[in-house]
Amino acid sequence: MQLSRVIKPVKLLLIALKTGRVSREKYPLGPPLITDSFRGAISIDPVKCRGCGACVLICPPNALTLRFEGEKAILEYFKGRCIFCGMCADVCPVQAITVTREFELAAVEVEDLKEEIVHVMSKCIMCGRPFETITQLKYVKELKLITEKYMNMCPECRSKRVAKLFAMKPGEIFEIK
Amino acid sequence: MSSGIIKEIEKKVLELEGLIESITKTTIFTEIPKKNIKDFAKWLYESGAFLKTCAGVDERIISSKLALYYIFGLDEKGLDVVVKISGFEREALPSIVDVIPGVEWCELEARDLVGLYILGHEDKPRLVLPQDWPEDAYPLRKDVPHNYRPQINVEKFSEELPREVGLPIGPYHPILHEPEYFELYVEGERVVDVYYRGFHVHRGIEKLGESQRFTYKTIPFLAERICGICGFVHSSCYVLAVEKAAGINVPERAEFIRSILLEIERIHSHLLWLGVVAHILGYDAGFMHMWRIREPVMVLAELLTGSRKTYGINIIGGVRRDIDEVKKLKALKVLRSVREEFKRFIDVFISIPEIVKRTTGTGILPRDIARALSVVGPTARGSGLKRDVRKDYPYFAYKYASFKIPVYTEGDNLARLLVRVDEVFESISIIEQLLDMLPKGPIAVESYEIPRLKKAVAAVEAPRGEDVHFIITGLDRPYRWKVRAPTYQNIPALRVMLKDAPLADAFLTIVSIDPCFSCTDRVLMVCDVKSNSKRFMSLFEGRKYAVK
Amino acid sequence: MEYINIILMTLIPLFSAPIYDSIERKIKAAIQSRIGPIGFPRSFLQSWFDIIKLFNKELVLTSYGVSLITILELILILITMIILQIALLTSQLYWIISLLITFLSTSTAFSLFRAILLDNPFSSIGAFRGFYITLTVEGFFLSSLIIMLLIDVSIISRILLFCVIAISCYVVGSKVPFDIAEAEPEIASGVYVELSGPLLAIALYSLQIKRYILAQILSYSLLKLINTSNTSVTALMTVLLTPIIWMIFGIVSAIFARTRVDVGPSTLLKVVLILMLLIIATLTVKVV
Repeated sequence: MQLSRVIKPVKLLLIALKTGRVSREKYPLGPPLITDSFRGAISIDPVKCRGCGACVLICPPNALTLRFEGEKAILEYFKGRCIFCGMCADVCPVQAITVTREFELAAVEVEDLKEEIVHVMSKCIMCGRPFETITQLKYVKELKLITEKYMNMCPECRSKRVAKLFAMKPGEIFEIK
Repeated sequence: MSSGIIKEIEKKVLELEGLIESITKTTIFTEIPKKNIKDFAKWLYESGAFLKTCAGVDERIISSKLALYYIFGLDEKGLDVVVKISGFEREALPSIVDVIPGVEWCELEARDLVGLYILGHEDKPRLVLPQDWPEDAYPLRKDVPHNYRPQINVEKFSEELPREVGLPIGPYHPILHEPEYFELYVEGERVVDVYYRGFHVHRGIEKLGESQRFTYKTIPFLAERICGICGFVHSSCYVLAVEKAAGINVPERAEFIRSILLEIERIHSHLLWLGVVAHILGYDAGFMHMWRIREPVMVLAELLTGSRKTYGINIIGGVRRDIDEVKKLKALKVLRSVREEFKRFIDVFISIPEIVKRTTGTGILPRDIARALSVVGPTARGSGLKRDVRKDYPYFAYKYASFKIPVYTEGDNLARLLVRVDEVFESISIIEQLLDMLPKGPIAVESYEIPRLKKAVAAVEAPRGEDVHFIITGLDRPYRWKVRAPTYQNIPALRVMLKDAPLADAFLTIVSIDPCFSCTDRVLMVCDVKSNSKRFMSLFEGRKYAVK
Repeated sequence: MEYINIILMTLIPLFSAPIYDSIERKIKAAIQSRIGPIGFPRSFLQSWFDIIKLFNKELVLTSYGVSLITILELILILITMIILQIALLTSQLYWIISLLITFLSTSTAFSLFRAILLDNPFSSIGAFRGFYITLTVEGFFLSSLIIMLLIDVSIISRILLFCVIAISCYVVGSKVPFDIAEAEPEIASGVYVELSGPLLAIALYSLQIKRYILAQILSYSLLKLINTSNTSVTALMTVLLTPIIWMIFGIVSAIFARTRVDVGPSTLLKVVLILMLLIIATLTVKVV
């Protein structure tokens, strides 16, 4: 009884013998030890992406941002901030975002961690201000929610025009400049 | 839940000129005139209630008053009692610290962050805010923007340090993984007094949750990052609170999945803790083998959720990842082998003479002090208090599983160690039961609506104890979100445990409550604020208070 | 010839102590299901690599006393080591053995100087703890060593003496249950907390040489136990036995946890006292 208590710590050697070595011998070589359901960095399909910004709204750490530079709308994905939750892939209406199994993301330059998707903006036919990405407009056109005439106007001009239309007298003609 | 106790509480509230705001299935919301709060707290405490926390709320937009919500839990009845007292901005509120000692920290926090004027705490040093924070800026008030950064006056701290520093542990110490600060006053090899200063990494996660930056949908991911080890507990607790407040009925399958993952988190946390204890006791082989056994659990978590830690699958109204048949079988296999290996190794582990000798009789927390400080989790269960949220306030799918709550009465480090060892086995059995019973159905509700100004208290049993989230709903995001991590309730007990103990065991005792300091401070692990090393000098200001 | 032997015997520990340490680390890693230092040269030379790397790190001096003591400790231990080799080769010289005992006690007592001289609370606490442990066994260690080496006693007494020496060698070498001087978490790294770069390298190197000396003393007393007479064979055997004893120490240290400063010495004292009483009993029986 007393002896078995003294001997017990030595049992560790048996456990160690049975287990063998568990750490990886040469890390970067060989397949990564991740399961199929692992969530890594996301990849955005620039063809499918419409720049609607749904992912930007849901992204908890603001890793996805949408900024406007002149005629361009730039969707930026910054891996340095990403928490790999995959919410963006869940909300993307066109499944442009897929969650990859990539996790070795170290980079020397911070710029290497950024991915940009550039969308060209469509200009308003009234005031000439860029207001919405062309791909998104194409989608709206397919849905046939509004006529093409209205579609190419920015929201302000659209409401102005509607207001003007209401204010018109019968018989008056409205012209697009 | 018995209606008898509700009647009694109603009677008492009316007797003390208070009013019942609302009664839900698990919670009673009351408001008591501030002059009677002491009587009511005393009455509640004597009828078996534990203090959960208290939360200061800036309600000046609603009622032009600042309010303080005391949250009590009647463990035996499974009933939460939320008591509100309120006063105008400079109006003094009474403290109940002489009735319930455990309330001190959260009252001080309400004083620091909301600017409540609570009698009896005037001379005490700041608890949460750094000493160089401006006097009249209270971060949790609604008129302070969430990105407010005050001008810091560094020169205030140029006074020289006192020479007779006891034995400082922290804020940066090679063995501590998180910034905390203990000053141990020793006589020879005996500790005679302890001074603690925490909250070095308080970054105002609650304020962030109330800010424009976040919405109901994104806060679970923020909540998950309160703690690096038990993050899923926090996100579960947050969604539970919101679901309770909004009355959302979560599909049963989602509840099962949440429970399963909570238990997986408990297993991995306890194994991690046992490894750390082995390392502290110089048993590095134990450290390595414990973490080797833990590794399959981490991989299992990754298989079920997609991530080893910060699972990120909790959303309001359900979960995002399902457990299919293949995963289920794999999980059962992993759990079987983990149980076997753990059983074999823990037998060796608790036979190491030094481990037994050093944990027996050190860091004793007597039952009555544990009760007075309302400690939670394995710390309470090691001191003979049978407290477990999973049994007392059944949430998620725990009502379907049968399990024991290990309780030890010695109150020393060994008792807390054994509680955790037993809990690992219980958790494995819970997961096996739940996986067997996993019901069919959807895993999330389609849509939901969250009404404004509803209150809810949610509690989830974390590996370290009871985690409490208190929510007042607002538009698109909580109006007030109060987080009370389990360690918050346990650290005040350390002073009792460390006193008159050998210095060599002081660190073991600190670790025995499984402290998670960043949880307590409510921090984002990713820290981008440059620490000002001079700031920590101000820690010594609290010294006089400690020795007194 | 004699001189060449002595020089050879002296050079062996200088090179092989860190090598044995590396192999011990590899064995410990195997017990802990790890790999340890990888590759052919690193498996055997990791401690040498560590020492070289530490020498290349910058030196931050908190006080000159620290560096003086560290270097003095190394010198003392080296002298002890050389005397031990001479004693092994010429075991008939009584004065050599008494010199060995003197230096051995001085070099172990050196830990006290650290405790007194350093201003750092962590290292003082660590050094005092180390001193308690050393003090518990040192007297018994040295006296049993003298009896073992100089007096011809019965086999039973010799076995008991060997037990005392084995325990003491393990304890003085500050292996795991007794490494409370430097490894307790609350004192950061105890006696080594003020050492940086080259100084830490010197301290680690002298610890390794010290462990070599202790292992060699133990293997020599093991040979005494079997009663081998030829001195040159004895010397060769000790050189071969030393790594084996070192590795056994390593395995023992891997399966235990660290003791506490009040528990460790009292348990040790009890065990050693019982052994010493038995030794005295066997010695007196023989005299009667």
